[in-house]
Amino acid sequence: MSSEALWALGRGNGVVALAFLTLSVVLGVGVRSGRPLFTLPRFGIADVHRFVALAATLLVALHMGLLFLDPYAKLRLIDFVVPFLGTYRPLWQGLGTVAFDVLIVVIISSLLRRRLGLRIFRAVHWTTYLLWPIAMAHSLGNGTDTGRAWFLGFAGVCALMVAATLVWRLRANFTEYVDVGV
Amino acid sequence: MLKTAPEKFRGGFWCAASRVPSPTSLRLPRFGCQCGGMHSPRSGFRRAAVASWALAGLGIAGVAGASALAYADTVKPAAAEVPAAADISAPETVVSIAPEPTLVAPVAPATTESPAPPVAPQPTVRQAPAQAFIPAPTYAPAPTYAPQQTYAPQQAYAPAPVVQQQAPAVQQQAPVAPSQSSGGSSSSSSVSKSTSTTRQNRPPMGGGSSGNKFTPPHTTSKGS
Repeated sequence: MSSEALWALGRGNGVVALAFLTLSVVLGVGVRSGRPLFTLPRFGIADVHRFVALAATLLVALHMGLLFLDPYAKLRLIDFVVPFLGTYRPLWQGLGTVAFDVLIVVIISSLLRRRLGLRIFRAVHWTTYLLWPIAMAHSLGNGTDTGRAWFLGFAGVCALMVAATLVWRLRANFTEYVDVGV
Repeated sequence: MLKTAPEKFRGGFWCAASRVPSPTSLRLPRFGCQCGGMHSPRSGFRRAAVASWALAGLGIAGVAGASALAYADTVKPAAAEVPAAADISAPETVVSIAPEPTLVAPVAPATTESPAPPVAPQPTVRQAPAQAFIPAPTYAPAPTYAPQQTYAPQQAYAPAPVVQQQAPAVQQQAPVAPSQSSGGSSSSSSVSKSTSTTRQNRPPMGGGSSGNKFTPPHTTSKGS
């Protein structure tokens, strides 16, 4: 019974982590534009973006920890760091490991932004555009809810949000906020 | 330096009220623009905190909801499988229920007729369903049991005796195979259904019918 609960909670945390990663990408592009969003000024959006990204990291950690405690998933500690070594669907599980590694690097570089400098921070932060599709591929390929209508709808909404944000970001009239100090 | 450009907007703030860039906002102490909208850093951070906590609440609710859906997907097939298993024992209950109304029906008129004759319409009403229940026993699930008797694939395995012509050693195997298949088919099918449904949303453990390279590493890793 507890094993089933761990399994279900691990999956639920993974699903919501994907939602928060999606929201973080959208808010990150919103921060870049400098436009207000729902009466939030730019620094407010940046604050929410930071909170959502940290919450997504916490949810990913819970996702991995709960599945690690579940005796059925049989995750090993090395699977958290080194990709493509898993016993169950190594490719898709390895993509999840890659996404986790990239997420950790992005979070650390964001926390050390002042020390690293803006250029390195931005270069690392650009990998979040790679992080999201990897995480989505992991959830679609490794998730056991892929065949469910609710999960397909959820994944479709996430994909639409990111696609719309990217289209907006790549438009020619996208007004980009540039820090004065750069 | 603080002028707005068509593509790049340097340094200034977008006014949340008028949705236009306000390049003069940096010159003002509270980031207000000339449109009259008021958004101080304090109110901005307060709104951001409210939005963050609202998202945290949504996240907790989302985890609960997604976990409930995942748990239901895991447990539901096993619950749906129970009626299938109960169908096997259903004939016993039907057979036991069927005599009960027939027993009750004769008792009911005997007790109701004795107190008063005008109550006569009531027993007639009760007798009607009792007669209507008669077809129920005629349902006699015996024909439904027929498939179990017709399961007997031993006759269907008649080709096995053909092997007798090849070698006497195979002759010993031929009778064994039908007995295993017929005896194990009914029990193993029910067992495998129950186990597979309870683990439907889980990765297959070992041996993997879905083609996982799964078994050897598990046995080693589990030990560690």
